[in-house]
Amino acid sequence: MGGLRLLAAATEFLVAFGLALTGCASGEPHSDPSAVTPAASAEPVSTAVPTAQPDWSLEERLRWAVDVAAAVTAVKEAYPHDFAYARIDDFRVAASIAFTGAVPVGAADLVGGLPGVELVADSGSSEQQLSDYSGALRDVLGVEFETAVFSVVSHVDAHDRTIELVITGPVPGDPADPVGPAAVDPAELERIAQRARELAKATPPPPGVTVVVTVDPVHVYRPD
Amino acid sequence: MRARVLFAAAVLATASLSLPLAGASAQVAAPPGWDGAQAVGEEAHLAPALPEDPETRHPPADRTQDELEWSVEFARVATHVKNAYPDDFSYAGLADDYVGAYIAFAGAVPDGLAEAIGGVSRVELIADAGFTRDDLLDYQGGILRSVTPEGVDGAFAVVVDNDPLRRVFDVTISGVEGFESSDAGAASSAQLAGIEEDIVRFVASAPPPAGFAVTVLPAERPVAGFEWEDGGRSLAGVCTGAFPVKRNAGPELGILTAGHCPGTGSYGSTSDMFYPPYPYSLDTKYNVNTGGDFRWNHSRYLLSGYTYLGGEGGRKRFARAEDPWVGSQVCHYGRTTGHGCDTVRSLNSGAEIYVPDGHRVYEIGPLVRTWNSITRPGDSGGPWYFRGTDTAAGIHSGVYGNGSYFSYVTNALQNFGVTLWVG
Repeated sequence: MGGLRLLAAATEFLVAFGLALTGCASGEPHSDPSAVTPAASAEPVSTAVPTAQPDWSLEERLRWAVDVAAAVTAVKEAYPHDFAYARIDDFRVAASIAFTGAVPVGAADLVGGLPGVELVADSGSSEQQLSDYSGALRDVLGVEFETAVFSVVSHVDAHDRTIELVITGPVPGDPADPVGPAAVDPAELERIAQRARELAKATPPPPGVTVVVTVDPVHVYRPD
Repeated sequence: MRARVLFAAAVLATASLSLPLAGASAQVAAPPGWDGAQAVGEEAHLAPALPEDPETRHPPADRTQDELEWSVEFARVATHVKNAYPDDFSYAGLADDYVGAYIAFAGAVPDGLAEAIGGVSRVELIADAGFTRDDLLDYQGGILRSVTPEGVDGAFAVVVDNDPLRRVFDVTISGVEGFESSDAGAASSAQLAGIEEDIVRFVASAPPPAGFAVTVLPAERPVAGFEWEDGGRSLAGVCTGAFPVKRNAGPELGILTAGHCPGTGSYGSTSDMFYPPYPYSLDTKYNVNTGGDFRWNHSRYLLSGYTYLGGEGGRKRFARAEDPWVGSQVCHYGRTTGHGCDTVRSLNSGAEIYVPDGHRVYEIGPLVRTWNSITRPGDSGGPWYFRGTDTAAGIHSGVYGNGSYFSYVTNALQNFGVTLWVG
């Protein structure tokens, strides 16, 4: 796993893994890590969403979508520990900005009266928390399987409350793998995946979050 | 070493514009009626026998991977030294043969520095250069500010280069034709001569630092504005460039692209478009807040400020950058697939890539994933933007499964200390 060979010392990243999981001890253990559990639905908080403009032109909707994106960034920067995720639907002129707990006082001001933007409270974990967790998991795998040639593609979804790790073959061009994809050993990839599942079970992710670990011996991330 | 500094001032009939310009001085001829080249302040400021023109000292392009890696490591160290010792740092560079490098200081070499950079071999530390980098930049600024464009109704550009080895400031004054946003033609020969007089007066009243000379180079013909390259063009025949950028702390211009794409080579219709990689211009990594698969290539030449988006997308100036969110409508351009649009499916994805001139596999992210795979090899490095707007969103990276992936352009801008350049 080329990228993870960059890690300097196993102990450092095992500690980092532990740190990333701080506060997650009460996470619900998931019995079947290969399956996605349904996301708990967040309870929307009424934020007196201004009426959207269904008769807007496409141009107006697209401009609105950029303004909302900018507002979401401002909210995330102002409340990095409260911000969970955001969704934008410019066809419906509807967007939601979700928070891990209560909607912070002042968040609505940052949205600045943009129509169709809903602020949602109590939406669980943040994308940052999920990214930190998946990153720590990757780091530990890199240390434990330092001599293996594999790579990981990861996705997180705070809305669906899932972390997905795909264990794949080596990165194209990696000089550590002169043989190429033919050298991929699906059994070894499966061992790595199984270890990832064990790690996720031993140190659970944030509450309500499911870790999905799969093996893809055929495809790799392809730089274009 | 040649520390090219791009500066320019352009004056049109009623508006004043800033036009960084580079690489023009060697190709242009003096317009009729204008004397062009002359040394300024020969008695006090012009060295009697300048070394050979630095254009002849460019290293060959076919460097080995080890040499390129070493040069990038040296660049990182030199930048760190420059930032850590701003009152001492003078200049730095690679030797012509790429087997040595140097860092010079105005006075003594700071204590402990030799040990601190011991991990990078073959670096000579030079004391008592007699001037700091800021001294040079301040003086160049003075030259540019000395230009008083009253009465000049055509477009022109003033370029100031400094060469600490030759101890000379090279000033090029040229007219600019075909300027994008104006019907005005190039400044006349008489007007250019007036600008030159402004500079001569400045140099006479404010001698350059540390025995530097000032020369005014000939401009054989006006610079053609319409030849400036856009963002979005083919990079080295294997990748695509994204948006044009300008360094915040200096006048350098460049093109954003993917970190796994070449840092040098041809671009659009221009061969050898870029300088060797600028320090810290490659920062491909995984970091939730600042990471991605990106670099910026330091352009030798002026850029138009536009980004090419294919026949369907046209050319646009991107003055604004925002982070896309799930559901955002985004479009891209790549040299292989052309123009296309999709919707953001998820954020904060991570992957790994091999970077040839970094000679390593890097973990990269966060990446933005779209619902469909709409890109192919060759599209890497190309621009992603908010559909129907002039707001930049990302730099294309790659494909996995049924999704295309790109880096946040905001992370690249923040990491590199550059801003979108719109001319």
